[in-house]
Amino acid sequence: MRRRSSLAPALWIPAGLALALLLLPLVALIVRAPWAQLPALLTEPTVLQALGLSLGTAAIATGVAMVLGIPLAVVLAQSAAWPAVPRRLLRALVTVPLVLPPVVGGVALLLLLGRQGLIGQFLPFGIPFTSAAVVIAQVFVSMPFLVIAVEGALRASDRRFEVAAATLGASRAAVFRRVTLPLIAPGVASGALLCFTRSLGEFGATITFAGSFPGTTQTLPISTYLLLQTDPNAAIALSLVLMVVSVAVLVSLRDRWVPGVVS
Amino acid sequence: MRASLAVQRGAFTLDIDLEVAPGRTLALLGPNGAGKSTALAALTGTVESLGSIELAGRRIDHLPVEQRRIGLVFQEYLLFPHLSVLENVAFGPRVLNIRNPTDAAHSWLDRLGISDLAQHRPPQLSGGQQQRVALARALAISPELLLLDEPLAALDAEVRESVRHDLAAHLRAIDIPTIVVTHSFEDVVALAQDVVVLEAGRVTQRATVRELIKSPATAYVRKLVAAWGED
Repeated sequence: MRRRSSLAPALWIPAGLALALLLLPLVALIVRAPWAQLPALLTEPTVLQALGLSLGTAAIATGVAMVLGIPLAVVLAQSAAWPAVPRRLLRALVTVPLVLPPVVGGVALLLLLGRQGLIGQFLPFGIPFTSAAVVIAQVFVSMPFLVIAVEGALRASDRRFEVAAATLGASRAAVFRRVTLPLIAPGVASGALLCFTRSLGEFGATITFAGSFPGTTQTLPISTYLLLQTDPNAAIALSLVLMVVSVAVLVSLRDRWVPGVVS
Repeated sequence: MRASLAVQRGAFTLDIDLEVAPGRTLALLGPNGAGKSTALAALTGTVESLGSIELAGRRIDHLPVEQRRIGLVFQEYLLFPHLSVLENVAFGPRVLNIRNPTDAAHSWLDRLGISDLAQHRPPQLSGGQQQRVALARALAISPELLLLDEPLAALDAEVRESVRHDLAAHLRAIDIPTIVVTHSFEDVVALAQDVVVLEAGRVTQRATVRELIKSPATAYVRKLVAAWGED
């Protein structure tokens, strides 16, 4: 007890500083926001264009991440029964985009899908610097969030319900569709939400792989960055929009957060 | 129903022959760890087993779980929490592509006297109600064998007797072979006509319930019969 109480003040100071470091920039954003001009700034055609592009690509990226990521999560959950080496390798591969600098992800995507890329050289159409490239970059950086959330939900779910469904005559596919998926729906929803938010905020991989063309690849974060040099008030307004979306997602997830990662 | 099951799990060996006629209920009685659940899992196909299982004149031991048509009532009932009572019961008919699965479910709910629960969700039900829904769900696939795993163990002691009484009445009305896995002698007396006693993976007695009470073959059964006689 004595040890704990003597440590407390020493811990409080850095902890308080850490909290200030997290909070004060957001406070500055709110304090310095041009509230009176906000409606006009947010309805400017260029802003609306970036907003529409960001929401659209993030939604598509989330859809793609679900279609590809849920099966990957199932494989990851089942890999618990695999030998150590392939099991750890698979987990490492899934989590690489979480630790990789996004700009490196963008370079890597260019080297794969660019006109001279490993696969890109064989494609009859170009992918980089298109809206499709925006979506691919977003999927690359955000899918791991979904995969890990869904995998956590799968591990936490009671597999006996699946046995019960099988005894009632359900094929594996029917068991997955009618029992497994509905039971892990909360995990899928929180994963999808995190995936969407991460896609919406994606900058590094997008600007590297998709560039910054208004209307096709200039998403909200890129637009914010560019506006900061020409129209700071507009940049602050866009930052507020991104912040509100992020906070809304955080509030909607509340304590559910990501099963398996924080629980 | 005729089955000869052999399962090896580490040091444990299960070796058992079972035979149940349509309309009769066989109790598989044994202490914890005797292999009752393993026998059940071997019948349903969730555990690999050597030997043969013959149901209504055809071998089913080579079939996967979903093709065996064995109705199983789990100890904890395992009703799907995301589906209504009606949809739980309609689940089997629906995945088996039986016509009008909802009508089939309604008729089973009706037969078991729980039509009023149709739109409830499983977590809203009492243990006794959940058991009836689980029975309706298992019967709705028109199984050729019905298995009940410790059907009263998940219930509170106060309601166990009345639920047991209801279950006995429902089982009497069913014309398929039924196996009740239990460690409770009260269950055996109330629900079954025949008994197979399983101890350490082997059958130690086969008898009708009356014979078992009259001449128990092992110390385990003698103790159960004596305790039951005192009640």
